[in-house]
Amino acid sequence: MTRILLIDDDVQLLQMIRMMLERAGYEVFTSAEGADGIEKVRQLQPDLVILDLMMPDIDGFQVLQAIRSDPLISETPVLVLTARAQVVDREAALAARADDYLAKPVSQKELLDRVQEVLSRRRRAGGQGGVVLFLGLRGGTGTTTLAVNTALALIHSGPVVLWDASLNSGHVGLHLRIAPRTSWLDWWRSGCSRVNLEAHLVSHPAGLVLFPAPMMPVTESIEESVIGLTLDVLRERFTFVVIDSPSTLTPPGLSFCRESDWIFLVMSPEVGALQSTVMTMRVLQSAGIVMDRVRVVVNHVTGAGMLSPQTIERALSQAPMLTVPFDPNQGVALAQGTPLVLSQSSSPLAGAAQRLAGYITSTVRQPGG
Amino acid sequence: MTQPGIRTGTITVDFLTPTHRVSAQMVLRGRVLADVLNDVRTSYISVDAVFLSRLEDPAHILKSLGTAVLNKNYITAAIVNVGIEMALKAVSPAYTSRKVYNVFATVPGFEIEGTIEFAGRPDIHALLVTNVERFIPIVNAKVVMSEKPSINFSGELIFLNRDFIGLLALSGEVA
Repeated sequence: MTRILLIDDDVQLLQMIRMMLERAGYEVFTSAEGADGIEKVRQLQPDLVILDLMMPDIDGFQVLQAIRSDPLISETPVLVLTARAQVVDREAALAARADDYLAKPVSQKELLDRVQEVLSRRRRAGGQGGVVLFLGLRGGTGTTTLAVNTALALIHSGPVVLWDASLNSGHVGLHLRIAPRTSWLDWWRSGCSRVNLEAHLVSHPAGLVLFPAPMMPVTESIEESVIGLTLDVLRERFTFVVIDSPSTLTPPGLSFCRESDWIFLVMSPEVGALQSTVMTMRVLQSAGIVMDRVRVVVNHVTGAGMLSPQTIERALSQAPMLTVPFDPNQGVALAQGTPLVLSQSSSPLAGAAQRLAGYITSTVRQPGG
Repeated sequence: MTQPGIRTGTITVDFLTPTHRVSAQMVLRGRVLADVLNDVRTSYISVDAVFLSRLEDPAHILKSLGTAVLNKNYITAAIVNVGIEMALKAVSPAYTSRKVYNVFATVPGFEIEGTIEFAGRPDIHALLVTNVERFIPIVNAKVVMSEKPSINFSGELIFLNRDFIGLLALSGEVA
């Protein structure tokens, strides 16, 4: 479980923020003064420190300086939370090597968004495996097909796990002709033990590892912090984690987006898909997700009756990263459970998956890279 | 530092003086900040959780103090970013129309830009001379340090001490 230490002299605020974070599934520790806070960072080695700048005796800047100058804890992410909300304060906090800055008063959503962003930024910087997300909010755009084929195209670059994160009976198994008897939900229910993970992964003969979705649609609520924890475990073992994302931007869906190094928004060239994509981009932006990580892929392009590339580019305010022609072979590939990357590597869709894989390997940070 | 807000009855204010930045909390006890600043019965205000910085390095906390008293004659501007509703009384509907104007002012060490509201004809002479309120509210304001323009402060609401104003000008109607 992700451990967060709050350091603030306002005891009421400590309790309020503790409650917000515990509800989101974090393990929370508190300290009401600077010296004790520094000591607790050393003892607990938390995953994140949330630090008030304005404290009596030892202020937040001094605490931050103590953390950064102690080699044992110097890499601890620190999110500054303060009532001093001027630009100079933000600049000073970042210059003192805080990871991020948040002004009081803070809402629960704003706090959780920023906590997740700092945690995932640190994970990304940690040199672990890269996380690639395929997201399409409108059905029938071929998101799963692209995720499966790209994951298979990546296996030459290192161990790959394909996480079928669908909440509505995932279809990755159909694409790979695998009938899983377990799922990530079962692993979560069993306590998320690293030792136990192997029993919940399914290997494909081509070398891809599948982390399957539950067969039954998920009806229980999902703790967002478990998603981060699961990705931590997968990144330790795999060079690439490819996620076939849930088709939703409810909190779990947004968590996947925040944790990913690259987000491929998959759309087809029709009005409904374009509208969903534009709106998705707005939501991602307002959720604080860096849009440099987001790329649009236009799939199923036939030409006749479809939106023109110029129209799509104008609506998105950016050119799609890739345009994939409609591939008539895909129907057969799905029926046979053999992805085109494996059966017809010269087909348009396989070519697109190879290009995406090439793009990912050249841009996503590799372990030790 | 306490989370500011109506529930706690406290407001966080950044006071600018000719030499220092004083970030502090004020317990308003049912009044609004404007009334406390403009209260002619006292020249002093009590503040809690005080964090003092020099103007030349306004983010560096020089001293933290539990409680203190601030001399109003020493305050150039009071900046509020959270809890505007605790700083200024809501304006009741008036028969005369209220209009918003861009405003520019200088005080020793600072230049201030923002907007100001007038009921009826805008009269800055009256604002400075016959107005009984010593602290003039400027909305969506930016305060730039004259000697170091890279240092600036912004506030949804800034109360400017009339006694320090050297120049005041309106530059067009906003709405």
